[in-house]
Amino acid sequence: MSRIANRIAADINSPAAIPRRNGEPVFREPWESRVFGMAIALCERGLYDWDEFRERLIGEISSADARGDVSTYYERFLAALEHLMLDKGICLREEIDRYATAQLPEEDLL
Amino acid sequence: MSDDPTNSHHHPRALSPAALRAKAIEALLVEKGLLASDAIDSIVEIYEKDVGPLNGAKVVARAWCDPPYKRRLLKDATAAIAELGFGGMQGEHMMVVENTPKVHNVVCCTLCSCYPWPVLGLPPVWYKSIAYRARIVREPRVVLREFGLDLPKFVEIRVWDSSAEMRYLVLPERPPGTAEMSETELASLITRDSMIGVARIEAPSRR
Repeated sequence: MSRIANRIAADINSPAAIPRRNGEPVFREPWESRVFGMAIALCERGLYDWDEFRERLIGEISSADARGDVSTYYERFLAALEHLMLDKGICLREEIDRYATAQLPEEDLL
Repeated sequence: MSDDPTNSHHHPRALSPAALRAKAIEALLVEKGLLASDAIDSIVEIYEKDVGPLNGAKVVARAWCDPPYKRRLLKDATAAIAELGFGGMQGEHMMVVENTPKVHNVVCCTLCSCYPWPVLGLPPVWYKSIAYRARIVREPRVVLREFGLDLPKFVEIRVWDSSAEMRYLVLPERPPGTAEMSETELASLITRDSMIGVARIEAPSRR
């Protein structure tokens, strides 16, 4: 088990703890598992420390709660990942926007 | 599931903004050569299936096969478990408690959900339930029977209450009929529940 796996497995009671059912991670939609995998993959590549991501996530969760936002855990997880990537210079917001637009017409090919 | 909007091949507009954003980011990162889609697949698979009691099973199997290791494990579990490369505890100590024909150990956490995660992965939901935490101390024999473990009256039951400082792992009894099995084969018999102490390990069926 990798170090990050240990960290995530241990993180059970904090706000950043991933949703679980019967002890196992729960993804309600496929994209949630993709985002989860991406966050770990980028960390394993050394682009950031897991703690940096975790702090972002906790910040994202608490500010969303403070706003009374009804967003889900993985929507906040995604926002935390996106902000961290931008801050780390891993990519630019315009690039993500461009790719998001490019995804639109291809959706029937899913 | 039909109510899953991302699962539909024919209603792409149902894809949520977050799903779209996630797809865009993945495509971008792949394009940049920062990650491969199959790397994400394998990470997700690891977390969904393999992050679990496997490490504990390896510890138990080693203890069954290697008497000096077992002595070290019972004397200083934290160090003996670290010998196999498992750790990452944050200051907690591990203690391994051995089941014998006369003593059965079972682990709980009455205060919250302390759990030896480096060896057992994520705790099952029932472990965290108020019912288990309260009743396993008060009426362990009854609770174990509900788990399907009907212990003879002469077996003493010891309940170990985990804390932030101390985590317990049960060393189950090696089942009969396993003398010929390798350490790896043995590890595959060892269940999470047996290492929490709510089950025993069944002898493998001979086919």
